[in-house]
Amino acid sequence: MSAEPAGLTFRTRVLFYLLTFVLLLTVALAALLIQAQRTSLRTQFEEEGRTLVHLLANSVRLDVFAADQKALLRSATPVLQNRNVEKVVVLDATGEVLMNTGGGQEVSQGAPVLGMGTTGAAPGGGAAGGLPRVVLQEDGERIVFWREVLDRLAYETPEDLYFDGLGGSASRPSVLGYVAVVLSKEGLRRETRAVVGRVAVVGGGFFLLGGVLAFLVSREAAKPLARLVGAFREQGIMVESHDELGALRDTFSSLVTRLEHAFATIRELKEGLEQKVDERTQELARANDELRRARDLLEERVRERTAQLEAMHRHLRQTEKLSAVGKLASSLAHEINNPVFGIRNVLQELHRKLDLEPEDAELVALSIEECNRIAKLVRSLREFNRPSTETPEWVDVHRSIDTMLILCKKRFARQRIRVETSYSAEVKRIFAVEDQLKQVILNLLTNASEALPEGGGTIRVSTAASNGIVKVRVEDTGCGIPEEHLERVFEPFFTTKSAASGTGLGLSVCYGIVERHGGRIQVESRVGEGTAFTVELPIGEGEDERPDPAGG
Amino acid sequence: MRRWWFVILLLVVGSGGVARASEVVIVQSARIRPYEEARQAFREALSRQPAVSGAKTLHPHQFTEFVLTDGGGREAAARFLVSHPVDLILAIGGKALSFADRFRQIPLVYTMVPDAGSRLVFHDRAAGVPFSVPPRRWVEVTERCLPRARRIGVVFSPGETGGFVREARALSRVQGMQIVGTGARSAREVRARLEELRGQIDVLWMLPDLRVLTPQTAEAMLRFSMEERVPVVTFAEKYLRRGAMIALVPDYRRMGEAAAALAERLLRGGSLKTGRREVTRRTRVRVNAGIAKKLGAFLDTAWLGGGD
Repeated sequence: MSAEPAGLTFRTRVLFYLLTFVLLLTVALAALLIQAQRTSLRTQFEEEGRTLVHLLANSVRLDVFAADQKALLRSATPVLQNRNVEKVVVLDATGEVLMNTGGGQEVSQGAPVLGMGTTGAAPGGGAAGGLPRVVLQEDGERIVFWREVLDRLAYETPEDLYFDGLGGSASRPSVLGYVAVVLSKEGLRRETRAVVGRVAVVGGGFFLLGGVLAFLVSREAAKPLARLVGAFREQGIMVESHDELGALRDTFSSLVTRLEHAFATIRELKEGLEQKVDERTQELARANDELRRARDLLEERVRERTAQLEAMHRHLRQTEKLSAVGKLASSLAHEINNPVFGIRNVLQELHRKLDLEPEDAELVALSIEECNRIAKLVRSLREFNRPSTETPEWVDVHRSIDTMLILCKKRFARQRIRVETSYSAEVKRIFAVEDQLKQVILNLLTNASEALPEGGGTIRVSTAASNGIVKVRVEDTGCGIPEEHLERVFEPFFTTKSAASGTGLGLSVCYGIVERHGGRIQVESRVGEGTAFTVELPIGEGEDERPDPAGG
Repeated sequence: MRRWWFVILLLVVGSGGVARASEVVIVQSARIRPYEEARQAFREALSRQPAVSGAKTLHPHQFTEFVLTDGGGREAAARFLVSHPVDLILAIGGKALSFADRFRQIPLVYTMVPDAGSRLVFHDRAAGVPFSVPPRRWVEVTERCLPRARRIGVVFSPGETGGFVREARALSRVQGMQIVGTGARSAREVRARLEELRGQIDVLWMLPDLRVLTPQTAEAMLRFSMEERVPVVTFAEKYLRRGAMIALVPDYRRMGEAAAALAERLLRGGSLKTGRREVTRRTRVRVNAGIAKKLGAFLDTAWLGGGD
């Protein structure tokens, strides 16, 4: 490539290279063709000589055997007709010349008789199963093809007269003589010269044709390049070189530089974009986590509110029901109370003024007693729904409980009821109506004692305080309340006791008092194990200004 | 007493039937078609006549075959003949006969042997089928196939086929033909003798004469036939393929069958005290119609029929 012509246009360079290539190709092909033709001619020449000597050796067997020179000449005549055959020589087995058509002694004297006889092959043995071997002698002017004349001299046994293929040594032929066909090389040289001439003509034509094609190819190849350079110039790209390839190289370098800048910019933008995408992705992930936590919290609150609403709904329904019953009982008690007082007064006047028989007097006294009981009952009914007329004050819860336990002590002893108390130190006073609070405690203790069997049992009273609420819990170890009755225990007149032992108003009164104090009462029970009532009351508004009873 | 008579009867019957399968060894010179045909015919013919013992027992002959030109065939045959009890040897071909001649204690039958007399040196109990065709047959075939031929040329060596030519000359004279015979002492003289016969004969006999007939003289005779347009009557099919017109060849199957007849007689214990026995044999006439047409010779083959 160092021979590249400098300063030439692209078209001139291409034409130069193509012509050089065509010339070299022509010379190489011509050399190869001439060599191949010479080899082929030589092979044909040798094949012709071999064929002739084989034909001659086979045709003169009988003539050699009989040493008949006239017959030999007749047999050799067709071979001598070949234009390349210079002469034919025939020797007998001892090397004596039987025929020499061309005269001279040089061929017959140089006969390779001994060489052919000592080749190791059987007489006449060439290739196994093929033709006998042919020996070539060559000098500058001719090639001599020697071959043995072979045939069986005699039949060894009478059987050989009749049959072929019996095998044994008798089947091998003997050497009857030798034949030589002398071919002149002049014909071979003439043919070779003709071939060289033909190849030169063809090579010249090939080179001319190649030159024309090279011219056309270079012209067509340069067109697109010229158009490209023109387009660069039209686009304002600076092209300094004068030849097309230089211009293309300059333009290419410029474009490569611009592309590198462009790729660098793209790479920077790409990296920034990726960073922003990562940041946005992280922000979205955080927002998603917060939303998930908010959703969980909201669901939890909804569940809590739903539970509270359901409880309030149940409480409201119970309150409405009890309020309706209380109103009914109050109006009924008001209607009953006046006649009962009238009847009792009449009976008291009669008992005081009349001198009745003892039995009658006892009946009147009994009637008065019953009237008192009715009056008491009516008062209880009125108490259930009557707004408290008493003024609330700070009440010591534990003292109220102890007062009611003392009141029930005799009765509990009679029933062999054991009382256990467990007071919390945090429970002190509440802002309530003391009498009503005591009535609630008394009703609960009474209810617990009535739930215990004849053999006695245990009543546990405990207190607790938390979050401004005081809890008073009364438990018994009685028979318990069936689950289906728990919903109705605070309804007026609902009782599982006999008519003589219960009115069904005690728990209703407790419910009414607790409701009026802003508290609530709950019941838990298991049949066979016992029942527990829990009263929750607010400690109340304002400050308890009285000294702490425990402290003073 | 009656029991003793029964035992004696069994012994008598048993002793009368003491026969066994005959062991026949076939030795063949080479594996060529004529020998194969003869061997096959021999086996078939002999197998049709198995040995008999008692009233109802047949004993097929046992055949063992060897071809001398096969690899190790000669050694294997010799080992077998020495180590086995063999009842008969059949030699097919001259080399096979020379080989079997050494086993003189074993009965020998030969066939397809042109020169049996010169090959039998030791054996004195051999019997064979003659291979050569007698002069009478040559004259008969020549007269019938070539009715226009009157002069029969023949090149012979007096020591080999002189007797044959004399007998043929006498027979041909009876048929109105003439033998124009020229004696030659060697094969190199044949070409000159043929030149003497040029223009003198109507047909040329090619006799199986080992002294004058060589591949070169055979070719010279055939070339003479072509040049003189004289048909050649020969003795082997291979010359028929090379240019002879008529060939008198032995019938190979009949040769095998005749050998089988001889063998059967020997196996039955027949006597060979009279020496070598010859049996009547037949020849086959083969013609090359193409050659006859090219030579323009009148060839009458109608009398051959389907047999010869």
